[in-house]
Amino acid sequence: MKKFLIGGIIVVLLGGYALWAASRTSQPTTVTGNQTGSVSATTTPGTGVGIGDTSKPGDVTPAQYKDGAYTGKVGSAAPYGNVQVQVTVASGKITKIDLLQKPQGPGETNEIAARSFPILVQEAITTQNSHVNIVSGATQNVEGFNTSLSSALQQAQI
Amino acid sequence: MKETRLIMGMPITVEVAEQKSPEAFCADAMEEVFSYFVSVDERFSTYKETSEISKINQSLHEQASFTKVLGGPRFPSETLRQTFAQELVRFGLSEDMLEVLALAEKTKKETAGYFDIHLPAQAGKPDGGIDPSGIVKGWAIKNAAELLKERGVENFYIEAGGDIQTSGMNAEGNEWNVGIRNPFNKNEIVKVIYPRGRGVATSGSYERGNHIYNPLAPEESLREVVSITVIGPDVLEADRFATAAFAMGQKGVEFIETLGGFEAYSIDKNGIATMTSKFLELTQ
Repeated sequence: MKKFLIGGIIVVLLGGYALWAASRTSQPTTVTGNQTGSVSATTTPGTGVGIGDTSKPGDVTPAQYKDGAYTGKVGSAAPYGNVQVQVTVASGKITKIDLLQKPQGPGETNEIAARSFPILVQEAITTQNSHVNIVSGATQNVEGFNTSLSSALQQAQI
Repeated sequence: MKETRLIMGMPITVEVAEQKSPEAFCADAMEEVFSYFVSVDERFSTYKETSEISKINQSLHEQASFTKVLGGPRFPSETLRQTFAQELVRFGLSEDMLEVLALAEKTKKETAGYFDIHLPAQAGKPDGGIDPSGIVKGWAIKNAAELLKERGVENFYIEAGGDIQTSGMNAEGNEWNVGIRNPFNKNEIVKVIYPRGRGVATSGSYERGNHIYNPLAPEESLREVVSITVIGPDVLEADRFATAAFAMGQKGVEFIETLGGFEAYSIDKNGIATMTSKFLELTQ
């Protein structure tokens, strides 16, 4: 399995290089002309939204905000899309946080057609009163939200 | 002995229920587990600029920018281009990263593409990069459970962001039980299951309040799934299939039904649950 994997990687690597090399040689002028462009494009870190931003809402000292509405940059809530917030500041205090973009489950967009499987048992959910050791539920990663909120608050700083 | 810490952007709880072992033994074991999660976060967090995954993504962006200024895509397929970009940065990747990426690729195949760590391209980001978060959680819990077992800890559970691995018995000497959270009210439990050493993972959507619940239209044809809980051989298996099954919507629970050794409990926006044929055996 490991040998097969390594073999596959080498094939892909060689194949990819060959294609790349072919594209280079077929249009040499384009390559030369644009290589400078690629360098400048790669030396601007921080353009990737939500990635590499280590700031937290706590990094911003509270009660130093100008009144207004501030939109944070987009944070990732992979694999369910992005999260983006708008903060409203009134009298120096945060009065509202709106979700401009919220994560979407693919189930919201994919309408599943006719059922081809046997009908499975269904029931209406009911609250159970028994004591449990552990709870399983979907939880949201707080970092995407924090990233967006943090950048909105930084804009609001005096 | 039980403790919760906030790591990887989520609460992680470890309980060691070794009644006969000294407290220091249990405390050391738990410390090792938490340290492990911290190290996983250092490597896989897309929010840390210095993490290995962030460096990979930076390379992917650079590669994509490069191919873009070369005059458009020259690779016959997007997949091949991405694979090529990945191979360029492969050298220097850690064993852990290679293992997680291989797992992600395997899961993508097993779920007909419903599980995919490649993010779509965005403005200013010609390659969306990769985010294996959907698999790292289950993978890390499984490894942490193995660390405990290697130390001779047999009775414990580890829970991270709703995904669970149990082992042995609880502090009362009974089977660990797990409550499935009501997606419309986080303080309520709608089902109690006994995983008996199997893994449990729940995947769901966010920001669903009671306003989504529409008891007046229970017959609505599109039954949108708000949460699906999957029970599998271990937490890694449960996690990767829960993520994919949720992406499949209503078809997710049927997909789980076709797998051997997996059960699922899926809840739609009308509060109607659909379960796999042997799910109820887990509730006894």
